[in-house]
Amino acid sequence: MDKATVIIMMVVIVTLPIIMTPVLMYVCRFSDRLRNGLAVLTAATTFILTLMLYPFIRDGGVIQQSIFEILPDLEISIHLDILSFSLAALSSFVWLLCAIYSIDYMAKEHACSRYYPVLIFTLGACQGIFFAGDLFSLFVFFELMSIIAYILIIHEQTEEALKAGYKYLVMTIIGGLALFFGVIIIFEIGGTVSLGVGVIVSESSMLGLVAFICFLIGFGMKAGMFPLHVWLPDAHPVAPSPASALLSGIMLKTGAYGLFRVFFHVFSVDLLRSSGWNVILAVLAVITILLGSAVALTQSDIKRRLAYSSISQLGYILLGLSILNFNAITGATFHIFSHAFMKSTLFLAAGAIIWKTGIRNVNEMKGLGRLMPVTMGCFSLAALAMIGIPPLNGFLSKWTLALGALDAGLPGYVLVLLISSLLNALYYLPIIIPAFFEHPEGEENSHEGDDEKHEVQFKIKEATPLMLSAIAILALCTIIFGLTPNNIVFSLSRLTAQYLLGGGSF
Amino acid sequence: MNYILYLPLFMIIFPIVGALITGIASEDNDRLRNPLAVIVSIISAAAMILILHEYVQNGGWELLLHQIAPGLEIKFRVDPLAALFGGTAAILWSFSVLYSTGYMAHEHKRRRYFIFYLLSLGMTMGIALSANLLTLYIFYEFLTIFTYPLVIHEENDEAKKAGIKYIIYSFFGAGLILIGLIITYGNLGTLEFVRGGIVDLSTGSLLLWQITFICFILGFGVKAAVMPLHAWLPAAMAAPTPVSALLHAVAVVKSGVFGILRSMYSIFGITALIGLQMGYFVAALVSITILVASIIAMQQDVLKRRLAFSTISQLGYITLGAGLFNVIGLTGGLLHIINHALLKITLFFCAGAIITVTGKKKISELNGLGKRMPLTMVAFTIASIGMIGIPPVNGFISKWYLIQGSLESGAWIFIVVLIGSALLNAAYFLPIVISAFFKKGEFSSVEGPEAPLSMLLPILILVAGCLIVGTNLQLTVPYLENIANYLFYSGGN
Repeated sequence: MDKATVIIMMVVIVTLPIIMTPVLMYVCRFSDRLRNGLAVLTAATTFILTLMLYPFIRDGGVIQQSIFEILPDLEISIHLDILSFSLAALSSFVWLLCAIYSIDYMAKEHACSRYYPVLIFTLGACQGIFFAGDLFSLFVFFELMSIIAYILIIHEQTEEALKAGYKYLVMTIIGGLALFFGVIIIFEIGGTVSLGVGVIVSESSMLGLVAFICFLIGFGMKAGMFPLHVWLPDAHPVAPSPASALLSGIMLKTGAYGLFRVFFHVFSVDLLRSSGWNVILAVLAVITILLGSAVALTQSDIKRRLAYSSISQLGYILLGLSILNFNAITGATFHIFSHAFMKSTLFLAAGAIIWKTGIRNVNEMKGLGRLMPVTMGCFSLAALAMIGIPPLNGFLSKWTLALGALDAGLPGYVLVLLISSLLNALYYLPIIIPAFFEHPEGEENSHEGDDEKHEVQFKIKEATPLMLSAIAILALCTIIFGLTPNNIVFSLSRLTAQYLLGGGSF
Repeated sequence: MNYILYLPLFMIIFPIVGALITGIASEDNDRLRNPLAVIVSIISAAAMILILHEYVQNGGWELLLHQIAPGLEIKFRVDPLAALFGGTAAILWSFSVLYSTGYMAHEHKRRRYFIFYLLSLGMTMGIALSANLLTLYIFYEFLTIFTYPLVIHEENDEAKKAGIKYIIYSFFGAGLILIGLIITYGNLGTLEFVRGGIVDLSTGSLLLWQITFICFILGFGVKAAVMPLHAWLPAAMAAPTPVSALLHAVAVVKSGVFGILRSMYSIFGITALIGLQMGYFVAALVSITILVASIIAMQQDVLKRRLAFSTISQLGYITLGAGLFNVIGLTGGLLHIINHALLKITLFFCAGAIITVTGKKKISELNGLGKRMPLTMVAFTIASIGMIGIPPVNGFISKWYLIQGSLESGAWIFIVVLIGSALLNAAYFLPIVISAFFKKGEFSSVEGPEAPLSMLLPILILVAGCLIVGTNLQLTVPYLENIANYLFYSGGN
């Protein structure tokens, strides 16, 4: 595949969803089915096009291409390397499944003619973030995605949703301004913001540190890093479940992705190590992990519990990034995938439960496994992966992260991972064990004195096949990509780590 | 091609003549007056574009009208700064006249309104094209006088009070300018705007020059709404919305900013400015203006007043750019003249359309308005995003340059001010957008156009302009960089 084709494909991947947005808005007037079909089709096309870039990536291809110059030294450009590809493929995959899931889930909801165009637009913006070739383009797409995602968050338009949305918006603007400032400082120091020049800042300076902190604020806000996570537990639960799955599964990762770029393409790794700036991130990541897990324990709303869990899981990724060695980066990259699969499964399953039964409180989920065996089965699988039980993918990422921590001579981090896993178990098991092994409340009374009391009763009231298939595919991913380290995702992560630490080449 | 050289004079005379011709139409004869007014403003804009074209092709020129005494002349000159201010104002004027025809349809005293609206155009062009401080001063005074009938248009108590406030503040400012003008003339014997400045600090005591500088800054600062001299501007929101839009977001307030730029860079010049050591004075004044105005804006419930305070704060950006004393910062300030003009006039037009269609003036009454006026509110949203400084709407690029300029001069405090103000902008614009689109209200969608076309059209064109300027930075940035470089000339002292 030659370079020109790849560039055209990348442009199409970013612009297709954005162009389809007004089309979807127009189609809404005529037919709901056409609209849904078109949305799924757009997501599918994006996913397939992204996958078609794989042969180019496999050969170690890297592309940096300016699309148009807006000012001297400032341009909109695209950049493709293995990291961009991995994330773009992941995001379009999850987006596709969430779009499929939405068809049935959103059928009951209002304002679908707003939901689908926005869903597809954010896909385009998200791919734009991953394909951005310089910090400025990255910033533009980042802002586009963040601000448009607001519409997904407040979809219900309840008082609660508007309040959460406002919090989100304020934090987004703060983060956006910090990023904006960071980008300008880098431009001032290095005269360029391109990701294609290797490293822009390689000398320690006060200005550099300020830029670094600005990026930490801007991207860390999106990634739910302590103390900028405050918007997340409010915003993610109020969104419709497929949107929550995307917010937690993918959009959070754009923050982590931004930090990857900052760590490896803006500042030199040697500078970060020698000046100790990465320790700032490490400390915040540890707090994020422990705090997220601990607070998740206290939440009884299932989606809120999942949101806090996301905070702590993103902490893993940031921790891996801050350790800055091969195993840790591999683990962090792999955990981006793992967490995307696990958390999307969990949110979609939780969505199916809420959709079917209206139960949001985790204490009311007793016996739910008999009602919705497939949904709860997938939920349990993903929850076990979260805890880190082999052979699921969560185990593999934690293992690799722990190896990285030990390589760096920091066994304390392993302890943090262990404590967090324990906490994960403490807040996930009380959901899944009663779901399968206890009777639903009220049912016990009605059957009192009955002989067949102990007989297991299945009264299946499952969600629709479309929803189930989306959940099941994601749940399967947690097994497929966890069984052995020889799977494609893990080798992609290893190659990514190699590429990043090798300073730009394989 | 000689006639082109007289265009600056035409720019001033024609709107006056046009205003008088428009006055022929009797009060109720809208069908004659409206097209006349629109045509006059479009011809003026076209003449301005001709001037710009000639300027780009062959450079600037002068036009001496009358010499009162040696050094005191009525004289016009086309130079980069004149082209920037004159071009922005003249082009936006034609949009607002078109908008006015729709907005004023149900108002009283339309004849008076259009006459003075066009007269003000002539005066603004006079300010923009003046070649020395005396000419500028004369037109500046006339602008105050001719805009007074527009401010008190409603003729209720509120408007009359606002009018008195406007006159007192303006003449106070003009008095200060006159003092500065006399000191300058007394010391140097000339008032000419010269590239690189005319002031030679060695000709008088430093204190005297500092006082002169303060006179200019505060004097022009009245119209530029520098705090604490801003109080007339929110009061003047009693005027009809097209007046607020054009005069209080573009022409009148920017003439104050223009005066500050002229006195800083064409009278004092960069060498003298640095010698004056008044940077901190300007910085403190402007920082307070930017932040305090933003905070006050948050507390306003009347939409137009919120926009007025936002204007005060945004004008501070321009002055800030001028006060950073480096080319990048100045470029940012000049960029903001265009960007803010486009954004704020769009916002005001939207506010006016809302008032005309629904009669609602308060933000708290706008819940669910997105259903009734979707296009207007989308335009409002885009302009708000531009105000906050998020690409791809045009506002971000001026902030980029301002922040970079602050970094260059090592003034961290300005960066804090700029970022804090952007945040406050978000805090006072976004809730309007949110409640309009996502809160439940009593509005429902209607068939047909959501507002009179003569109002909707300017809004849509201008918001498209915001996006076009924001995405095609080559259209503005290189020219303004040239202007900043031109003003920064330090060799002529």
